[in-house]
Amino acid sequence: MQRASGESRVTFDLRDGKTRLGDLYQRDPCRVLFPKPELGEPPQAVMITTSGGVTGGDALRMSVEIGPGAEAVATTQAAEKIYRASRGSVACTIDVDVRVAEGAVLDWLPQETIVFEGARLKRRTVAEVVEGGSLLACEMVVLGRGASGERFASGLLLDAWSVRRPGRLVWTDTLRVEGETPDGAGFGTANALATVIGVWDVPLPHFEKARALLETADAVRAGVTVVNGILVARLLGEATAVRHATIRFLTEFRGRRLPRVWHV
Amino acid sequence: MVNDPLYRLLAWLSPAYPVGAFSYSHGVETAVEEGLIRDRVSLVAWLDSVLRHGTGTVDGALFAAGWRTASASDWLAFDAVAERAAAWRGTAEMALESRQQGGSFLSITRTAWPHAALDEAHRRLGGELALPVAVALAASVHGIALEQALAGYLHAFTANLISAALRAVPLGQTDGQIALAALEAAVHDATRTAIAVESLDEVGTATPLLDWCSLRHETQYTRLFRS
Repeated sequence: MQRASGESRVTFDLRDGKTRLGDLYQRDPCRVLFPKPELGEPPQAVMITTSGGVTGGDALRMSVEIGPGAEAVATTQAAEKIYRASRGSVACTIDVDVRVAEGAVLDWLPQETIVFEGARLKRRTVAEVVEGGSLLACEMVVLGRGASGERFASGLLLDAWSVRRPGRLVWTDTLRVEGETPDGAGFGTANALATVIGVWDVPLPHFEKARALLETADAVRAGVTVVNGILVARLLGEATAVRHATIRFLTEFRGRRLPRVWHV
Repeated sequence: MVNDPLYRLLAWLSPAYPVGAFSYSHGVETAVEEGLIRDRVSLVAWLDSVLRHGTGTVDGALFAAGWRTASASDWLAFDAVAERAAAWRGTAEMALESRQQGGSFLSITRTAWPHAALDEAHRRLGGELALPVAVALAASVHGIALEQALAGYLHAFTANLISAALRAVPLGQTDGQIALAALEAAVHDATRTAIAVESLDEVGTATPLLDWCSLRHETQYTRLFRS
């Protein structure tokens, strides 16, 4: 089977007082759509993997860059499915590069990534946020198709996050699940984990709001912290419950509905 | 001059070394409160996963990388490991736990077991160093072998969390030692795994319940511990 090597690069800039699309580069199976935003909403970029899923050996790169003073929302059209890797194939890789300039605002809100039983994925997300820039990012991973009774008994998910300020690394974390999750401090009965990351010059008010909202999260284990100046929230539970709780949290936290693709 | 690596290692990793280890539970206090640790068996299961799939994995790999770069006197690479170790903290309290103890360790060790490399690291990093990297640095420059130093480090980490659990669960001192004995293989395996790591890019954790407990600890009503 042919390995896919796709890439998309999108930049938004502020011109004449409005955020406009700057550069766009796309190579299959990565595509970007720009649905007309609802009134009063910032522009949206919707990432698509036209192959309908990712499999062993695929290498995808996505980058989103927001220029000084611009504001945009980026998401994915659907849940990203990572298919079972054929025997002996190398892990598929997804590299995400997010850059937010001074005074710029980005909400990076991809839909969940579903890692099928036997799939192998290494995803690395690097966010660089200049002082004065704001980033809200949320990523949710699901281990196996729990609704079809599938367990994640073999396979690999390596999901690495780094947040950089110019010239320095401020926060990093990597989830690495290989086969069954461990007893003890592992996932318990959960098969899904959402992570929300927020970068602002003054995180405290955002943190207090997030904490109040997560106190009332239903059916998931949720919490939030500010570590090294970065807001980090986690929602752990069964996939449907985590998706519902995450949608509810993001909607209330942002004070606006999630991009329309989330609701289809 | 006598130079006994074992003597130094035992001193630095003793609960009597005044870095304040006793004041941190690394989420154990909340795990007890939430019923995730209820008895000796669930305590061992919890710490086994923390060693093999959680902090033990990450801090072990950072320790090994710090030890090796210090041994090679590659201070640029060492400082990159130190930066990564400071950034690689899941929660505010786990960051505090590592930063405060690491800073104290460096400061006390500079005084009691001085070495120019410790002073230089202190100057370059403004006295801030995550605990595993601080201990790795001292071990390396004082001629303590990596495997012994790391096994000692992970043992001390484990013993400290057992000691925290004994205060939070109704468990006796003997139970604590039975738990420590049961975790010998986990400490050994985590040490070997960390030493075999070729790239920190491939290291990660599978312990979201640990992170969740640490997040919850920030708002836990009654707290004996700082983490």
